[in-house]
Amino acid sequence: MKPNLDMDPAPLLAGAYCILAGAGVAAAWLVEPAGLAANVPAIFGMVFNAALGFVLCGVALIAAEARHLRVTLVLATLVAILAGLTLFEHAAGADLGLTRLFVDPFLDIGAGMAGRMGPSTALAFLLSALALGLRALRGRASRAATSIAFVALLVAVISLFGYVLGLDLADDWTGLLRMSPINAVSFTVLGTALLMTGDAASRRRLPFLAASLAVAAYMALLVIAYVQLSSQETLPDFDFSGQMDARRTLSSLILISGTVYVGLVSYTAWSWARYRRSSASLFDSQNRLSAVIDNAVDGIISIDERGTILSVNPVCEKIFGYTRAEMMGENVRMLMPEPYRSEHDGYLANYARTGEAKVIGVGREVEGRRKDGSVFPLDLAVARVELSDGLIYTGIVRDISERRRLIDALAESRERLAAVIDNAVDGIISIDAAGTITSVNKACERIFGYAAQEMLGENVRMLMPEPYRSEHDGYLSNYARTGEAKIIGVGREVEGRRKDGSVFPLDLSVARIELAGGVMYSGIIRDISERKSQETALLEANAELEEFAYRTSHDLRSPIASSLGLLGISRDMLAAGDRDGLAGTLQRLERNFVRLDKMIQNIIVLTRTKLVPEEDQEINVRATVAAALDAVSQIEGNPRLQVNLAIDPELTFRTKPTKFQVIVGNLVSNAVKYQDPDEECPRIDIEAATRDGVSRLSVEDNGIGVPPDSRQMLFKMFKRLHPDRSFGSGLGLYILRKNAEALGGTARYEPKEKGSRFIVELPEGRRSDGDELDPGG
Amino acid sequence: MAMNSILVVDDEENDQFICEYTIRKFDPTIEVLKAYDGSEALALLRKTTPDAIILDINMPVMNGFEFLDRYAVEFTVHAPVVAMLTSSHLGQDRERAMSYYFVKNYFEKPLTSEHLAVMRATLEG
Repeated sequence: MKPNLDMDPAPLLAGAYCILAGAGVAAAWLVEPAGLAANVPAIFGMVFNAALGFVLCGVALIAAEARHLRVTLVLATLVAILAGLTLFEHAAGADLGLTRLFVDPFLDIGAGMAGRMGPSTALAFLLSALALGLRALRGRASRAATSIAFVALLVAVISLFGYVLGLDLADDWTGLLRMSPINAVSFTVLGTALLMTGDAASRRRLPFLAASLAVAAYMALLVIAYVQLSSQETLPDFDFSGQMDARRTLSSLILISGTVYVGLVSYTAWSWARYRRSSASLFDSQNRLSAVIDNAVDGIISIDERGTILSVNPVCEKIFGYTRAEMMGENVRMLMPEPYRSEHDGYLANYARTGEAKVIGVGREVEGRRKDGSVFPLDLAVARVELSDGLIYTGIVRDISERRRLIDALAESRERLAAVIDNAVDGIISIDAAGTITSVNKACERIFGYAAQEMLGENVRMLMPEPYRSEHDGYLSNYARTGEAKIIGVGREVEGRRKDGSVFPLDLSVARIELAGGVMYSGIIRDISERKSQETALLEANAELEEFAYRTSHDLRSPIASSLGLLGISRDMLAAGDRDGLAGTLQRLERNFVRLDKMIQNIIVLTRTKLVPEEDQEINVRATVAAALDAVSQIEGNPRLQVNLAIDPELTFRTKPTKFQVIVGNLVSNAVKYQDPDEECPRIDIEAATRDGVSRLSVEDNGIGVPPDSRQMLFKMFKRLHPDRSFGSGLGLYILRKNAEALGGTARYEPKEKGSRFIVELPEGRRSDGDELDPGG
Repeated sequence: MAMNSILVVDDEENDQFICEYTIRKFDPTIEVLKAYDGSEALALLRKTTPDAIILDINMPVMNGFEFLDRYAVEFTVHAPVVAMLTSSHLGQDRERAMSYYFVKNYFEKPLTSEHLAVMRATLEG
C-alpha cells in the first residue's frame, strides 16, 4: 500500500471546500438569519440536506485519498440513500418527510417544496456517491467510476453554463437539469476532483476530459435551448419585449456553437488518438530500449554529474562482480583501480568546468577493478547525455582481458618468431606479388652484402644475376597468370648476385603464402658456394679415383695375364725342346715384368706427389734439366738426337724440388720417347726463364707430335696415344699436370708444325710459401 | 662353317704373340691377321672379312668399344664370330660388348685353346 505522504493536494482541497461550504450552509439553515436570507437568498439555494450531502462527500473524498476506503464506502452509501430517496419523492410526487428530517426549513427558494433538493442536485449526489463508492470498492479509480463522475460533473457544468448564457429565466430549480448556482459550483469542484484523482493516468487524461465535458455541455445546452424555444411558442403567457432579438441571439449562438462543437470534437479525437499512440509507442520503445540494454554484450552504466551510478545492466554484474543493488547509488569510482579511483571526481569536476574530456566522446582503454580487487583492462566509451532534468553520462564498458591476453601472446610469439628468423643461418626474405622486398633477415645482409635498408622496398631482382634479373618479373606475372611455378614449392639451385657484383650459387626454396591482404612469397636462401666447390672437388676426386681403379685393375692385370700366357707357352717350348723359342718367350716375360714394375713405380710417384709435404727450395733449373736428360739417355740412347738448352746457368726457381724434378723428368722423357725415327735431325729445344712473376719451362721437339683428335685427352690418366709405342704407363702427362697444379701452376700443350711443345708455368716462388698450395693434398 | 682365318686386334705385342702361338698350336691351318688398334683393324676389314675376330678393349687411338661402334655402323658384312679378349673383368664392359649382335664370346686373357674351341663351336653350330 502506498504511503499517505505523497497524497495529491487537489482532492484534499476539493474535499475541504465541500466540507466547508456544506457546513457553512447547514449552519445558516440552523441559525436562520433573516438578514442573510433577505440579502443573499442564493445561499439557501443549497437546502440543508444538500449541505449535509456535500459535507459527507467531502469527507469521503479525503478518506479515499487517505486510503480509508471503508469510511468512504459508508459515507458514499449514506449520500446515495439520501439522494435516491429525494429522487423517488420527485418521481412519485410523494413526501417521505425528508425535508424535515433534520431541520424545519424556514425558507423556500426555487424548489417545488421547501427544503427539498432539486432533482438534478439529487441526481448529481447520487452519481458522485456512486463514483466514490465504486472507487472505495475497487481500491482505485476505474473506468466506470470515472464515467459516472464525468456525468455528475456534466450535470453541474450544464447548470453553470445555463447561468452564464442567461438561459435560465427564473429561479426554477425543479427542472431536470437545473440546480442552484452554489450547488452547481460545489458539484463542479467535487466532480473535477473525482475525475482528476484515483490513478496516475487520470491526470494525463485531463485535456481529453475537459474537451469532452465542454462538448457534452454544449450539446446538452443546445438541446435545452431548442426545447425552451419551442415551448415558448406554445406558451401564450410567456412574453417579454425583444423576443425577436433573443431568437436571433439564440440562432447565432447555435451556429457558433456548432462550429465550436465540430472543432472541439475534432480536437478531442485527435488528442485521444495521439495520446493512445504516444503512450503505446513510448511503452514499446521503453521496452525495446530496456531489452537492448539488458541483453547487450557490453556493460552499460549511467551516472549523474556527481558520479553516482543511476543504472547498470546485467552485464555489468558479470564484468565487475558486484550485484546491481551494490552498484546502484554508489559513486562510479568504486569500479576503478587507483589512481583513477581517487582522480575520477576531479575529472568530472574538471570536465564540468572546462569541457576538457578525458574519455567522453572518444573511447579508450582504461582499467577496471572487480569486486574481488582484481584489476583488468577495459574498453570504455562515454557519452554525455543532456536530459530535461539534468546531465548524465552513459558509459559502455567491455572487458578486454581476453583480447589483451591474446594481443600480448600474439606479440610475444611474433617477437619469438622474429628472433628465430633474424638469427637463422639461412637468409629469409619475403616479397609481395610485384616482387618488392618486404622483409629480410640478418643472414640476407651477410649473404648478399647489402644492408637491410638497401634491400627493403626494392625489387628482388637486384639480388639476381642475368638472365634471372631480367626475367624475374616475367616469372612472377606468369605464375600469377598460369600457376606454373619455376621454383615455388620445389626449391632449387639458382644463382645470386652480391652487392659487389659477384655471382654465387645458392639454394632457394620459395613458399607462396596467402594472406588476407594478398599474396606474398617467402624465400629461404642458403649460400652454397663452399658446398658447391667442395662438391665439384669431390666429384672430380671421385671420378679420378674411379678411373684410377679401373685403369689399375686393367693395366696392372694385363701384363700379369700376358705373363701367365707366356709361361704356358714356355712350358710347351721346354717340353718340345725349343730352346730358341723359349729364350724369346722368357725375354718377353722379362719385359712384361719391367713394364709392370715401372707402372707401379709411377703409381707410387703419383701418390707421393699428392701426399708428401715439401718445403720450397731454390732449385737450379739447368742442373735439374741436365740430370733428367742424363737419366733418359742412359735408357734411350740416341746418338743422333740434338738437345739445345736455352737456360741461364744461374737461373733458379723457388719451388718444391721433388715435384719439380718429376715435371722436368716427364717433359724430357716424353720428348725423347716420342721422337720421329724417320727424322733426319731430331732435336729438343729446352727453355726456362722467369718473367712477370711467372717461371716458365718449355720443352719443344720435332717428334711424332699428338694427333688432333687426342689432344683434349692429353693430360688425362692412363691415356696412351701411340699404338706402336706401348711402353708408357699412360700416367706420365697426368702426373705432370698434377704436379704443376700442386705447385700452383699449369701445364699446357702447343702443337707445332712438326712435333710438340709442352709448357709448364709456375708462380714465382715466395720465401714463406708452405705446402698449403697443394690442392691434391 | 670352318674357321679359316682369325683377326687379332690388340696393342700389346706380347698378347699378339700369345694369340698367334695358341692359334697355330690349335690349328696350324688358320690364318692369323694382326691389328694393333681399332683403326688398323677397320682398315684391314675393308679389304677382307675373317671368319672370327679376337678383340681387346683397352687400346690407344681407338679402343675396342669405339671399334665396335664403327664396325656396326660402317660395315654391312660382319665376321661371323667376334670374341672379346680382355683383362677387364668389369660386368659393365661385358654387358656393353655383348649388346652387339656379332659379339658372341667374352673371354679373359690369356687366350687358350679352350677359348678357340668355343669359338669354332659357335661358328660351326
